[in-house]
Formats: sequence, structure tokens, C-alpha cells
Amino acid sequence: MTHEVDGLDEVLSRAAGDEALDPTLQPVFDTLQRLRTTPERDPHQVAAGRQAFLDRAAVLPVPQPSFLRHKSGTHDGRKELRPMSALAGLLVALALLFGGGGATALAAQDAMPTDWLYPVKLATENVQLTLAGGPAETMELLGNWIDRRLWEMEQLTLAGEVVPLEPARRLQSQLGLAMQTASQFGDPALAQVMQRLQVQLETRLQTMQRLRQADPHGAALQSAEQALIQTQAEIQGALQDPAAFRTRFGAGRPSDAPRQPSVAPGQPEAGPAVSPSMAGPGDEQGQDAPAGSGPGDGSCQRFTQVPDGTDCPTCTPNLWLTPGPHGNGQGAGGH
Amino acid sequence: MSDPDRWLPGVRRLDPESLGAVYDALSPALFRYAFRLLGDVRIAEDVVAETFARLLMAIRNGGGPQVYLGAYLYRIAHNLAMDHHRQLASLPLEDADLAAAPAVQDEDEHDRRVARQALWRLTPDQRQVIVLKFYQGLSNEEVAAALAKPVGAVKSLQHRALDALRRVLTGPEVGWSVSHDS
Repeated sequence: MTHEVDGLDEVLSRAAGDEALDPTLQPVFDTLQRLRTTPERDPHQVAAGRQAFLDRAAVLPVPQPSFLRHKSGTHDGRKELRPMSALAGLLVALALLFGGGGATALAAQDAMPTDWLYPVKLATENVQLTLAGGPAETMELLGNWIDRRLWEMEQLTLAGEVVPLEPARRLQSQLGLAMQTASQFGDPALAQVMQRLQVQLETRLQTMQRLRQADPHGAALQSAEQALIQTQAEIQGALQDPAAFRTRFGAGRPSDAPRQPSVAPGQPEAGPAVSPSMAGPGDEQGQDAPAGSGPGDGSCQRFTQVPDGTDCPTCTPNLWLTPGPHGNGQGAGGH
Repeated sequence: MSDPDRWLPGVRRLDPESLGAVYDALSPALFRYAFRLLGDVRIAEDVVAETFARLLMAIRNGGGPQVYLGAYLYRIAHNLAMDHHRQLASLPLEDADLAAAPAVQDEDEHDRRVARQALWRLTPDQRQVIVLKFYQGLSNEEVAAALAKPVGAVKSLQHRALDALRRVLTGPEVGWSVSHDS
């Protein structure tokens, strides 16, 4: 341990003993000392803050006691199971025994990306999307889930855990689907939705950048940050040129435009058309990506469909890790 | 393990007595921590409130601190302080105010502002080391827990932080920072 390495200790100990400091450290010490004094807190505010904290805690469900935890994992180096996993596991086991899929889904709602019920949570989101009443409701759901993904990643980072790729993948696909859904709006509604999303993403990007500082090499966080930045660029594009944005995302006409016949006069019906209002989650193969928010290289093909899902070797890292169904991206499962 | 960490089991059970004790023990230190970085009483109180709220959210979701409660809270507070700092820095009006600051502030306030600016010139980890150790009196082990880094890395961060401060305060940028005596 060198003198330099313990420089701060030297500053502290010499200051405490009223000894002279290294001349080069003196200005540092003097400057830092200026922040030593802090104002008194308002006792009423302190009391109110304390009460608010306790009130908030009082309405939270009491976490499960430790005997419900799977403790063996801590001895052999594997990750300790979260209490939620243990509780959720119990609920799932009961649900399977008694055929209660709803209980499983309910149990999964608080699952974190490291929990084994997390895929169930994502699957319930898919179902909710298919039940959404239209683009506006879809956008609202997506807005909430984008926040949910970021919150999950934040919590894991704050807990010092490695963030798995799954929430970042889902974030990317949900951002892509949000763009596709937004492209169905007419100009005034599109501008309104994009501006709202822009504000939301700006704040979330700040959060993500902070998390990246805590975990600069985390692949999931890096991927999520890039997706947020890309989406901001897409939003900017949508605000500047809505028509080009719609073309880019496959919705040629706003959903509130007058209806057009699906076939030319005199032509036979060609089969079921894919309606923009069918924007929904993955395909029948169980993919959780939104239809059409296909895989491929992020910077080259942003939000566009790449037929085979392979990465372009000349491009920046893949931002669309989740292989989605290949199609025009507007229907449940595309085509 | 410092005193507040002893309440961790109770805090994880959301036991009101433990939660109250931790609030009483740590909220003053968290307030001072946030105030030193941000220089605004109201925002510092907001940071304290949000820090404790996030602790509850984390525990509710099965996460939160496992060993070092204090370190965990400082980490949250630092992240929140950084968010606030970025927000303030992004306001053009604030920039204008800062530029005009020496002319409108009293000398002590100007000195504090200079010191705060010097801290914000550090990297986040360096800043945390300086604030947690110099002001809050945390040990190297506690700082290491707050930063989620080994103790050796904390010592090396200390060294780099002091070097950076020395450069900022005595280097070519000295006119920007501390020469208020003239």
C-alpha cells in the first residue's frame, strides 16, 4: 500500500491531528471542507417523511419468512432463490394440480427476469396485447411495459445482480411494436403519442445511462440503452415526417382514415387481409416478440424486418435479438 | 458491520420498529450526503424520501440489501442525486444562473458551489468514494460495499479521485475553481 493510494486517509488523519498536509493536498482539503457544514433539517418535514415511509411499508405485503426459501443454493455457489420464487413455485404447483392457469399467471406477475416464472409474466403480456381494444390501448399497455422492463433491470442492477438478456430483448421488441402501433395513428394523434413517448423515453434513458455507469459492461443494459436511443431517433423522424415514418413501419394509412375496399372493384376477394388493429404479440410458435419486429442488426435495419434473423457482419451489435415472425409486422403472427 | 446493518433482518420483514430505527439512524446522513452533492434542501429531502421508498420496493420484490443496508441506501441516493444533477444541468436557465453565480452569490455560497462543481468533475465512483469517506466517515469496506467493488479498487479510486481534484483545483483550471481570494 503506497502513500499515494492512502492519500485520502492521510488527508483525514492529518486533518484530525491538526498536522500540516502535503502542499498539493492542501487546496483539495480546503475545498472539500467547504461542504462539511450542512443546514439543519426541518423537524416537521423529517417527522412527516418518517411517517410516510412507515405508512408505505405498512401497506406492503409482508415478505415470506426465510423458511420458505431454498437455502441449499447458497452453499454450493448457486444463486439463492428469491422468496417470490418459492411462493410462486408453490402457487404454480397447486395451480397445476388443480388446473388453475389463472393462479399461475397471477403468481407470475411479480416475477423478476431471474425468476423461472418470468416467461409466464411475459406470456400474460402477450395475451393482454391480443385482447387490447385498439391502437390506443395497445400503446398504453406498451408504455407501461416499457417502464416495467426498465424497472426490472434497475432493480437487478441495484441488487448487484447480472441483468439477463431477456428483459432487454423484450424491451426492444416492445419499443418496436410501439413504433408500429403508433404508425397507425393519424397525424395529430401520432404527434401527440410520439411527444408523450419522447418525454417518457428521455427520462428512462437517463435512468438507463445511470445503470450503465453501475454496470458498464452489462450486455443487457447496453442493448437496452441502444434500443432507447434508436427509438428516440425514430420518434424524432415520426415528428418530422409522419408519412415516411408510416411507410417505414408498414402502416400506409392511418387507422382513422376513411375505410377503403380491400379489393379493387370487379376483383374477387383475395383472402383475409392483415388488419393494423391486429397488432399483437408473437406468433403461434411461442415467440414473444411482436409480430414483425424482426431480428437483425440494429443500426442498419432499425425496426425493419430481416428475413433470416442473422446479424449483418458489417453492422453494429444486434439490437433485435428476439427472433420475431417474419411478415409485415401488423398481425398476430404476421404472415 | 455498522449498527444500521444489524436492523437488516427486521427491515427485510418490514418490521415497523426496525424500519423506524433505520430511518432515524440513516436519514440524517443521507440528507447530508444528498445536500453536499446537490446544494438544495428540498431536493435533498426528496432524495431521502425516494431512497427509502426504493428500499421498500426492492424488498417487496424480493431484492434489496443482503448485508450492508447503509451501503445499499447510499448507492440508491447517489444514483438519485446523479439523476437530479443531470436534470439541473440540462436546464438552459440553470446554466445561465450558474454563469452569473459569482456575481450574485455571497462568498461562502460561491465557495461551496465551487467545491460542489469540483466533486461533479469526478467520475461517479470517485465522487462516491470522496463523499462517503471524507464526509460520511465510512470505512473502506463500507465504501466498497456501496460501490459493489473490492476494497483494493476503492483505494485506487481514492488515489485517482484525489489526483483529479488536485488537477482541477491547482492545475490550469484553477481560475475556474478556487481563486476567490483576489
